[in-house]
Amino acid sequence: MDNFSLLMHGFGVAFTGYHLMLMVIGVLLGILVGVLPGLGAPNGVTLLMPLTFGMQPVSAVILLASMYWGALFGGSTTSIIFNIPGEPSSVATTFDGYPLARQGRATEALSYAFLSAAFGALVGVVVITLLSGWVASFALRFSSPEYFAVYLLAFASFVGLSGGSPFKTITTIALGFAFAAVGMDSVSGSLRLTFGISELLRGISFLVAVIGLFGIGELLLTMEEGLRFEGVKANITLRGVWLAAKAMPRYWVALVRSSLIGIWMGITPGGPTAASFMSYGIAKRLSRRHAEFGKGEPEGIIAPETADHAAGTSAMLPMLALGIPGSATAAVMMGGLMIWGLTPGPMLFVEQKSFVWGLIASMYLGNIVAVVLVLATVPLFAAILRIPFTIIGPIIIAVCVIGAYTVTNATFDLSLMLAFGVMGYLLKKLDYPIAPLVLAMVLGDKAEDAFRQSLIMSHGSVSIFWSNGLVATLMTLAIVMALWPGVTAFRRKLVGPRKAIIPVHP
Amino acid sequence: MNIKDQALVSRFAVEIVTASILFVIGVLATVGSLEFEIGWDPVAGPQPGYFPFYIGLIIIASSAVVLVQTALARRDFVRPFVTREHAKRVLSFFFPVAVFVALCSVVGIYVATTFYLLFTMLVQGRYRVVFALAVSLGTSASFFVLFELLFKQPLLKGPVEAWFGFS
Repeated sequence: MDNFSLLMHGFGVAFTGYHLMLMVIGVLLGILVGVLPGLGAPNGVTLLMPLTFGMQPVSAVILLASMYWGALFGGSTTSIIFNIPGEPSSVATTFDGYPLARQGRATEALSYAFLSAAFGALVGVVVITLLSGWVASFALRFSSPEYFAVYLLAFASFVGLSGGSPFKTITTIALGFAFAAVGMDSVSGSLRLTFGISELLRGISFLVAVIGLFGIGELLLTMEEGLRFEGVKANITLRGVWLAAKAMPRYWVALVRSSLIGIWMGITPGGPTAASFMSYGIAKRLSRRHAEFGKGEPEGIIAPETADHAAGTSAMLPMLALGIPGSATAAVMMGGLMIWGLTPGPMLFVEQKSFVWGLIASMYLGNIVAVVLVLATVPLFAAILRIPFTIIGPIIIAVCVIGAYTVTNATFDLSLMLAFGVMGYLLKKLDYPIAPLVLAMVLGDKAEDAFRQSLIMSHGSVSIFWSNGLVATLMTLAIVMALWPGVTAFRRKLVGPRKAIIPVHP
Repeated sequence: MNIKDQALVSRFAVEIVTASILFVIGVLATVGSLEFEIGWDPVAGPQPGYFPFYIGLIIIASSAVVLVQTALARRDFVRPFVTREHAKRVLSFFFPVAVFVALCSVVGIYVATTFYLLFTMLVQGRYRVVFALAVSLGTSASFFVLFELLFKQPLLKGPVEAWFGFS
């Protein structure tokens, strides 16, 4: 199969000493970021990004992707040991992970989590490998109207699947577009929405927004409860890991089912967090031991972990192939791709084979490296968390400030970061979803360009968006998604309340 | 309920205020885009102001809907937005951060970090002066080595570094 030889070529690109070193560094930084509150995966990737500007794109993306896997693993560590999710995608892991740890079986819990996560991640990468060639065949059929329809579908999915008021989602999406429009317009060269403030000529960088929204905003939220890390003692022994590994095949149904859920949520813009909740909910409903869920049932750890890692890896496919990121972190990485001069989309698979397949190959290696490293370093990171917050908190803030500064060496960005921090705090507390805001900032210019090009091609007629089968299907799906809350609201009146598929906060 | 758990401000109030602020941002976007043509040029297609204009209108419309929805469902929002205790913690965290950011543009990031850490450790953490000095100086020194020398990413500096000969 053609994909296989491409994958081998990718391994050749990825499997160098330099890249392995980047993977190790990326994973370690990722675990650190996943474990610390206020520094999440989107934030961590953003902070690392300016440092990658001098690297080859494939090396840069390997570093950032490794950090992402590390963060996903790291988030589970704090969930299980401290009952504090380090990442939104690890919230579901606390339900059974912490109770199991409280029973003195922390090693087992951690091993279940990491091993099933690795399983999910690898299944996700295999699926990407298999689907990639098929996606590339789409390349030639994609023109501006199709791209716009795809972006519309991505945003419509957020509107359709988020909990809370769909109008709050629409507002944050439009807000993101408005922020993206500030600064120079790429087509006409005009300076828009600058209101005479010279600092705004540069535009508002999504990197600064992410640091403010997810970093400062998250910390402000966490500070409400004050921060106290008093966790369960956990010592990883090889024997403990082996025992858990031996027990894993018993849960093969959960593993396969959760992987499929994760892959589905990764490829449609659901994301790892939604995947973990959905998988946990379904596992609980279908399991014979559903009464044990919440008390330390291993399946309650395996289900969400497998799903969220499968979603994490498979989210790379729509990000690379269509320019639709499946999670906030994927959105940031996509922004990075564009900064490095690569355009996500089907043409990427045709024109930049080394990059794409190097990345896919590195996903196999990166996740294996991540599992090994996270098992080895649990005691280290648990110890770091015992440093009092009056020291760690300011250090995290300083890192955020440095990160915001390194984007364009602009002092103004620091004040902007603070403003976004306050906004992030308010929006999160009021249940306005933030991931679509980030996505809109990343995609804003591209979406506008696609829209304009389409209308130029059709001489002003909107019917171009229904002119062929592909674009018409995408547009229809988008409209269905956008109107979905109306359907749900109507159903609720008939049947009773149902839980949202995507929790508001990614 | 003791005073600490009392609401500083109700969620309803904050929802209304936030939706109103977003409404105003929408108006700003709409008005700001009028600086350019918002119509349709037969050759170039949508003009520069077109997209931001309609985005602004969308913000106006959807935040208006949120305002109406919130007003109608007033009973659901009686919970406190933030209690006095929580607000105190958040603000006592936020004000030093704001001062820190302001300080960065005056004395540079490294020196500002030193002062910021010193402040939190002495005032909020109540550590001994020697220990606090060690940690804060150690942290900014590590940052200096990391960013100036290793990563070669020069950061914002101020008079202190200039005094030592770094620009």
